[in-house]
Amino acid sequence: MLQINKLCKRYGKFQALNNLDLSIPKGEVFGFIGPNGAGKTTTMKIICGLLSATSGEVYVDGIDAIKNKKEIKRKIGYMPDFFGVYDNLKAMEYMEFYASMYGIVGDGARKTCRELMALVNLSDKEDAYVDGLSRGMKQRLCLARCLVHNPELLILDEPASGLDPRARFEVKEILKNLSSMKKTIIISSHILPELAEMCTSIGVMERGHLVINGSIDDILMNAKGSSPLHIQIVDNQETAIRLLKENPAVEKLSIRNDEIIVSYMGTEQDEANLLKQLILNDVAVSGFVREQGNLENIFMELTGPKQKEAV
Amino acid sequence: MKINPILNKEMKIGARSIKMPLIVMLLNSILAFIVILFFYAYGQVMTSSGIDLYSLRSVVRIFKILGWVEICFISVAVPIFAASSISGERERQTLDIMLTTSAKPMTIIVGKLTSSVLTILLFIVSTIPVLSLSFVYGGSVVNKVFGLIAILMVAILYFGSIGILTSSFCRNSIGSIILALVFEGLLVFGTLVVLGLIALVVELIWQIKDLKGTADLGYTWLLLLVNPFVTFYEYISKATGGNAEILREIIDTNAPGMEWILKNWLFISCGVQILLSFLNLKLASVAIRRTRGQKVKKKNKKSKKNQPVEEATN
Ligand SMILES: Nc1ncnc2c1ncn2[C@@H]1O[C@H](COP(=O)(O)OP(=O)(O)O)[C@@H](O)[C@H]1O
Ligand SMILES: [Mg+2]
Repeated sequence: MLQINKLCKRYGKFQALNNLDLSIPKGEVFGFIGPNGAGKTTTMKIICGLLSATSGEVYVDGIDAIKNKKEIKRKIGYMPDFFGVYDNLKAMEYMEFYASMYGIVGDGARKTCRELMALVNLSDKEDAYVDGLSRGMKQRLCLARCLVHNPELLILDEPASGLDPRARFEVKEILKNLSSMKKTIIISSHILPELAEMCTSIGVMERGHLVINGSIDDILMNAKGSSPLHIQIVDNQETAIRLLKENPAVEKLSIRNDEIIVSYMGTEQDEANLLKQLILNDVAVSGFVREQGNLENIFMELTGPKQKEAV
Repeated sequence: MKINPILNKEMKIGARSIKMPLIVMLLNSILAFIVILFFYAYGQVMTSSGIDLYSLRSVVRIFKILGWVEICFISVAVPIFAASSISGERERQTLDIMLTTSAKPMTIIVGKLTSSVLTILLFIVSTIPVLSLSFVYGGSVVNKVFGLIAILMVAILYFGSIGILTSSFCRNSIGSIILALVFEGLLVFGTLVVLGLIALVVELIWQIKDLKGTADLGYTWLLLLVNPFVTFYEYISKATGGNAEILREIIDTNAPGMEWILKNWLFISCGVQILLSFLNLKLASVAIRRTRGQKVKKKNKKSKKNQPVEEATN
């Protein structure tokens, strides 16, 4: 659905995007994560045709988005990182205004807008003035707005920022709904847990390019593989240490009182075998557990200060 | 017929704003006040001197004054409405959203222009009753009032297109309004100043060469075609001064063709100004599409500032 090749963007001397490559298949919910200033908004604006790229290619559904800005506009629904609302305009009029900008007018437009307002749970707010709505409601209205022309690709810039947990949850539910409608969705955020639950794949961006990119499952697996094994031992610790040192999958171990923390690069089967071996050798094991792998840690690791030279 | 979506939205918002009735009331009060003051002063003079000032020729002077008040109102009100229209969307950050829809930039430009033009036109139309007061003692009301409105409409379009142009590249509305006023100032006063300077130089050359007669500025006079106030001056003098073509009396030149141009000044200058309006709108639709980010925008703003000068000297 979306293919980005070697995308570069310079603001004066500042390199905001640096050879960004990205490929998102149809139907994916892609989480675009990165600290502030990483270049997420810049990337999204280039995809929508609001900014021109310095170099590189963008394809939306196989169409060159840089050359055919007009054609791709119908395929993309863009929600910027602010609410674009007007005073003195009612929610329904707001929706109908954007529908008319796509040439959708009359009864058809009204029907579509009604349906979308229902989709975002704002049916009872049709006649309310937009500037009087709460933050969460405005956000949902904006979401409905960018669906008005039934786009295939949704680009949402920080849709959950500044919302309370309840409002965030509602946005999340709507997104789930949309993804079940086979829409391809790109969501950006600088907060990882916000995205982890709703995305099928994520890309972590840092200083203008992707540092990691893949399906949530793969990345979590990776995270799991790299997190240490905690083994609690009541008795016969020496034997355990000897056995562990002999084990080829063990990379590093440290001992803290009765606990051994092991960097272990094996499969789950290997883990089971290791435990069996320990027990058979009369090691009294009272705890044997993998530290919870979590995206937050990977994120911090990838975008933390240590990693920066590598990037 | 499909209504321009932006016009439709603007009209909805405009109808709900308190601004419109306030301006209508203010403008009409000022005009009515002038009329009353005028009639009162005439009455005073008449009782003390015994001269009949309520003759057609004298009373029609009120029309002249009201006309000037209206065009001055337009030259201030139009920039305020038009020059803040697109930059207002930019400030509200809704312009980006508009540009991601499949509406053409020209649709946005035209929608913004028509909504500001119609708003101002509404104000002008609301003053028809007061304008007609100047003809209570006779005269061809309909012709003159509608002629005035037609001339004002050209001025509204012209000033409006300038405002739309400045607002298509200025980031904030205040800057855009000021720039539009400067732009207007260059057209109205700048052209006169330039013409005056040229006249001085030509006069000097004339004297050095020791030529006979007065200096002839020739086609330089055409510079005034872009000046909407000159057009208005020609119209209002014609409408109130027994159809004399005032510019023909003022402008003295022997350049071939000028006689004909001076005779048809009203139509030619309106044509030129309408043409320039379309040019401004075209430029605006290009400017609105620029996608290079804000730093570059600043640079472009400077080069665009030269626009009025270029146009005025063309
Ligand atoms: N118009 C601009 N002019 C100059 N620099 C900009 C402009 N827009 C963004 N930047 C810079 O580009 C970088 C990326 O910005 P952005 O894409 O907004 O990041 P993100 O959305 O990931 O927080 C930032 O360092 C920002 O300062
Ligand atoms: Mg951003």
